[in-house]
Amino acid sequence: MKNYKPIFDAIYKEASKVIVGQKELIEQIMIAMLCDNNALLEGYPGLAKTLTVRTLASLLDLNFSRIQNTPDLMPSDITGTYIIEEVSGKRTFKFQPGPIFANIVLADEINRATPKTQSALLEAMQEKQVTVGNETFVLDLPFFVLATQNPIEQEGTYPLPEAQADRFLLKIKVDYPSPEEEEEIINKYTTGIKIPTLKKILTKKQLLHLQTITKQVPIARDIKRYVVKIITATRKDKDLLQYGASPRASIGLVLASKARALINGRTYVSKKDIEAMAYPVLRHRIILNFEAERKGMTTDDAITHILDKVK
Amino acid sequence: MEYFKNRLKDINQVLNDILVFEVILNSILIYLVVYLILMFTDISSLYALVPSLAYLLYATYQQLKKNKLIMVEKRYKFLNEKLRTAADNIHINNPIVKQLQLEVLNDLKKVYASTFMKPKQSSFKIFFAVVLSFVIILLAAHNIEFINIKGALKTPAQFRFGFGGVGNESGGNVAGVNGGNNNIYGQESIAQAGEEELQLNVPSFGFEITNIRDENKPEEEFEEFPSEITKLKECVEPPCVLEDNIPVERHELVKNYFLILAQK
Repeated sequence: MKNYKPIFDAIYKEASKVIVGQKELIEQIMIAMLCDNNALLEGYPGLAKTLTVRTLASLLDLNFSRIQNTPDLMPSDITGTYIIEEVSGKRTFKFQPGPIFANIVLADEINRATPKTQSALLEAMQEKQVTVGNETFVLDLPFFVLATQNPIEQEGTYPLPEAQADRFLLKIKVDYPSPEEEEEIINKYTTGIKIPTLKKILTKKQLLHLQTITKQVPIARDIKRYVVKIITATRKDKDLLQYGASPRASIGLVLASKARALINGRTYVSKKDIEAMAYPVLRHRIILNFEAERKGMTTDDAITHILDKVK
Repeated sequence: MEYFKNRLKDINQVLNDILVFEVILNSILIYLVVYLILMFTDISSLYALVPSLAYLLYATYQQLKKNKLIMVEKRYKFLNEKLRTAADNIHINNPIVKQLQLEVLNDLKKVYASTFMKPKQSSFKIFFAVVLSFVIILLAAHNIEFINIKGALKTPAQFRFGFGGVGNESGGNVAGVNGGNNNIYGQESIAQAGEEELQLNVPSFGFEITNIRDENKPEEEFEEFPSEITKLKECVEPPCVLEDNIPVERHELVKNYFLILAQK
């Protein structure tokens, strides 16, 4: 069995030809893919969220589609619809697949779509299939939904309910680049330098194989207990939290840690993996109480507090 | 993997042996120290086995309960979390677990059992045990006893420690103290009553022993009561006058005895 770290190093190296910095974003998107799950990206506009996803899709030889959510977007705009087609004078209904029929679907500003449209997308995420009329269409594997949210301009939006946000494995916070990185971005995109063609690093089949391998990464008993301790602490800590995480968070945290271990070339899960993945796994699954909000705490602060308590 | 299982068993076995050896050494030391202390008391030295055995049993249980793999991981940082992950997933058969087991087996080649022993400490304990043994043997020949615990338990109000002649100026009863003097009667100063010496003088009396019982006389001839009080037998119910039947020369003896006492 080979060490898979060089594969991921190659992905970072190739992606860096287009994306400056954002190594953590790329790593966490890869983790979500290895876990065969979906991710929610939250960041201000212009932080290369769409560019990152599109770049990764080309590196992994995956079909990519983008859905720009607006309040008037209908579910059929996502799933597809039947259209009348005339062939040799004969009219038939033909199903026209929507943008959801891709391997990577980038749902931009998911909180701007209506709950009905959101639910169509969420059904595809959960079931990996789409039902239109009487027919069910199975989606091509691997299938990922990477939804984005803007933390500002919340007026006129439909925030994802917690029950539906829980279906995303990770909530990835996209941050501003460092000054050096920003300088490099300016050099890359304002000087007319041609962006090189990216070569494919992984095929679909290899990615599916990696998903199987990820689940096989072993984890020690005491580390599993540590995961359970963290999740149960979110339910018991009434000083900061109104609601804690569900058992789905325990599953997600273990899977995400396994993926992180594999990406880092390890054949075992470490406590450091658990602590690193606790933030993206838990930040959208816990709700702060009034006292914590009054103090100006964020969910990341609450997670730090819980990790310190459980240690 | 069978080889990996056997290797884990070896680690557990070797570490158990090392830990139990330390426990046995400590319990021997406890036994010797308590034996030495009990030598200076009147309590049987066999009781030294009690704390020693209690420690042996408790410490052995505690040491055997320890997770040996975590001990190895703490000593060898490159095995941290790896070894116990491989051990916990020993029954899972997949390429990743096999790879992990191979890595761990490779790393275990750099683990030496001797790093878990404390040679300096063990050597010092063995040396100390030998020294204690010799001290016990030497002291046993002198039959030294400083503390009489049994005596103290019998007469706690009168118990005082005494070492030689120190602290005995006010006299009083001293129970079974020997300040290391070979004289089994103790020192002369102990025989003092207050500040004065007792001069005991048993004066001799002018009497002859006349009535000597014949030893050859058979037992059956021995009378239950002396002849002087034969009359007591006859007088069972009062009123009756009891007269003694003591010979006249004996009268003189008794009279003289009390006269001398009165003069003194």
